[in-house]
Amino acid sequence: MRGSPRRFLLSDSAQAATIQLPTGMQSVQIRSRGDSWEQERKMAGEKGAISWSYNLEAALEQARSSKKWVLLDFTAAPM
Amino acid sequence: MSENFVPVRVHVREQADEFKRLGERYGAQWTPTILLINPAGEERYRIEGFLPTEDFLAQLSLGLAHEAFAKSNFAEAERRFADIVERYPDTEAAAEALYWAGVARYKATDDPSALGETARQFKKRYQKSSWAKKASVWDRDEGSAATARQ
Repeated sequence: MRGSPRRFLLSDSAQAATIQLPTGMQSVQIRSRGDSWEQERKMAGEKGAISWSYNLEAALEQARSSKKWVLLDFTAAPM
Repeated sequence: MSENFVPVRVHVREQADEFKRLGERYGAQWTPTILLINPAGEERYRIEGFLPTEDFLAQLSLGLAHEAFAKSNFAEAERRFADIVERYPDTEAAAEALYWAGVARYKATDDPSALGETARQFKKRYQKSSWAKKASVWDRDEGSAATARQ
């Protein structure tokens, strides 16, 4: 994401926007659904959007074995 | 993101009981609230409220950088903070990262000039940020680092 446009704005009435960032590092789709926002991120090296788990204890076990951290998202976004 | 994190979601309505249980455990009363939790289950960083993607990613990186700093891994912390400034220069996190990159460099090298140099960088960018005000004291003379040497 170096040396290229990074700013983007959505108007209040915008329902959807797709932004393709350069260098293939990341594509982002942001959609407005009612009073919440949903972001789907496709990161470099990943084939799809974030693969969420819904079980913290299992995620912690996975984090311990893989020496990662848990990103816990308390959300109201549509599932 | 998958390089560093196992992502877990708790939905306020679809998982009401789980939301209540974990919300009480971690003190989350608003959505979105995003916590960085270490493998021991301890919260180490918190993001409350929606952020645009770049700001969100910058905040996640800040969490990892602060954790390195807290563990006294100052060289790693400096690298992580500096990377935030380079990769996400237009985010609010960048000013904070610039500040802490200077602190981490000072901690790693015990060289007060790291703080003075940071203060001078704040004269060129992020001048209106609270972090620029915090760094301004370092520009008086590099001996002022003695106050920060703790």
